[in-house]
Amino acid sequence: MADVDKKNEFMQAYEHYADAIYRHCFFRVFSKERAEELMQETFMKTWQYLSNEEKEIKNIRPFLYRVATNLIIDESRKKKDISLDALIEESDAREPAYEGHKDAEKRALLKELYGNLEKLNADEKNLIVMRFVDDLDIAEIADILEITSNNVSVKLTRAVEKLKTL
Amino acid sequence: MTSFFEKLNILKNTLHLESARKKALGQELLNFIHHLDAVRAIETERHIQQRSGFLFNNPLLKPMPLLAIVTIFATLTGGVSFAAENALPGDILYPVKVNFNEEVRAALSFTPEAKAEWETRRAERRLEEATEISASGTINNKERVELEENFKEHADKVNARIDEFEEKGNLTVAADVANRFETSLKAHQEILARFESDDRAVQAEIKPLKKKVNDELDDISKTRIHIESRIATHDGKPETKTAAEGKLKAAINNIATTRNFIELRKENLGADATTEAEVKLKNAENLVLEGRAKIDAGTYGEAFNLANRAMRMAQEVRLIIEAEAKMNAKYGRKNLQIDLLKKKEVGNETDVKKESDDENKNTGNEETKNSLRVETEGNTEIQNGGAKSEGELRLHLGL
Repeated sequence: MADVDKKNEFMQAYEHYADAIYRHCFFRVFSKERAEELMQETFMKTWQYLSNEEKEIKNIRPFLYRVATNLIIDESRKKKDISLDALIEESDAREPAYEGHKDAEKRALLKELYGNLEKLNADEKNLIVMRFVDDLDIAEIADILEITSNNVSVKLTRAVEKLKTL
Repeated sequence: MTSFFEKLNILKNTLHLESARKKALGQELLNFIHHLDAVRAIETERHIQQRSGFLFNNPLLKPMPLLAIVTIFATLTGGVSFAAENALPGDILYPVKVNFNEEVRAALSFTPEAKAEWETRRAERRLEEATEISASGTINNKERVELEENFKEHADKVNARIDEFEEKGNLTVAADVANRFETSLKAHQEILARFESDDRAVQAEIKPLKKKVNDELDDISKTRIHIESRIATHDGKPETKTAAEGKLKAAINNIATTRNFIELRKENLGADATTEAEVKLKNAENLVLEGRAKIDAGTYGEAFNLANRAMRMAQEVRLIIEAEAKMNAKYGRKNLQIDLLKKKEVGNETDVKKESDDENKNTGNEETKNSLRVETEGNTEIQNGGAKSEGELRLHLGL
């Protein structure tokens, strides 16, 4: 029965957080197909951890973001150079809904954002997405990345300053 | 001038997973959870058998090459069997995908309908693999023969299931399975037809594959027509009415989803493909209207059959466009351009008409006939009794 409860709770977490994790992944990899795969892999790895009887996750939200962050780091280590056009073309394979926006507008915005984010290093990109896309606060980000809140504040401020000058 | 953060805000508030896609991914997640449970159950069983010394008598264990056994144990640490899902013939994890992953999923299909669904999916997976290795130009004889044999094995199982359903009087279920399989085969027939290559070795392998798909398609079309003719005689039955109403709803949803899918991908499809897809979807909608009229008239069997035709059309459009999108993204548009076909040309156009199944002939509906039209641009000269064209060759899919 405990297994069934665990499974049900886990699937509820999926219902609750899948969209947010997908969004996080999308703004890191700028590919809809890859963002879906990363999101799915995040939940699968989380379940693999949870399905071990001895393991427990007290707060699943930061755990999910931590897994997603690590997967994206692995991804970026393997990724070859690829043009933005190729990324966006590949991402059109499965397009999420963009309410109220025509494709051309959305594509233009995406290109701009991608270009801006590319000026940051990987840590800074991650912080910007966590703070301004995922709406996580400093303490939550620190918990996810397992660094101090002070460290998060300093790096985030630096990243924001860089973006303001663009 | 909009700041970075304003732009980010605009996009983030409008970016989300489509609910159907979220649901589908959630189902895959559940399948994965069940899969992991099954793997752990098998491992527990293996430990028990090892301790008792009856390792080789375990019915769960089939003789496997050493690589597969090692891979399975690696699976228990997490991740390998999932990675195998993307493996293609020739990849090191392909035997894990086919002999382990798929067998576990087969074991988790408990109802006859679920078993039929999974067998159909397995046959589809072989065709998808064939499409992918054809597109990449890596197909070779050994892999093609293996794919064909596996495909045939699963296709035979699908046909056996359909026969069972029919024998037991589950005609609507039999029709559903037959329709699904036929749609998939038709879509893959169209997709494989695109891969004309200058590489003779690749051509030599694609040709027998196409023939295999064509043969299976002929068989399943005949089966489906036969079942539908039996369903048409069950007009008055309440269960037929329920099935027909459900099928019409499903057809409407399918058409809407497909239309949405095409709309979002218009830029990558080109005007011709979009127009042709829309024509097909409009035909599907007309069939739904006809189906509704049949329900009102009390001819539920005919309504069910019409709804199935509508579903087939919409599903076929989606499958073809999905495959095109995937191949375009992976292998680049130019790999899907069709090389010069050595056909008789009339002016700058070549018409190659393909007859679809009997029901389309009978309805006389020109729009539902499948056609493949090849246009050439540029100069055409006649040399030595043949024709030689320069310039871009475009393939128009009559969907």
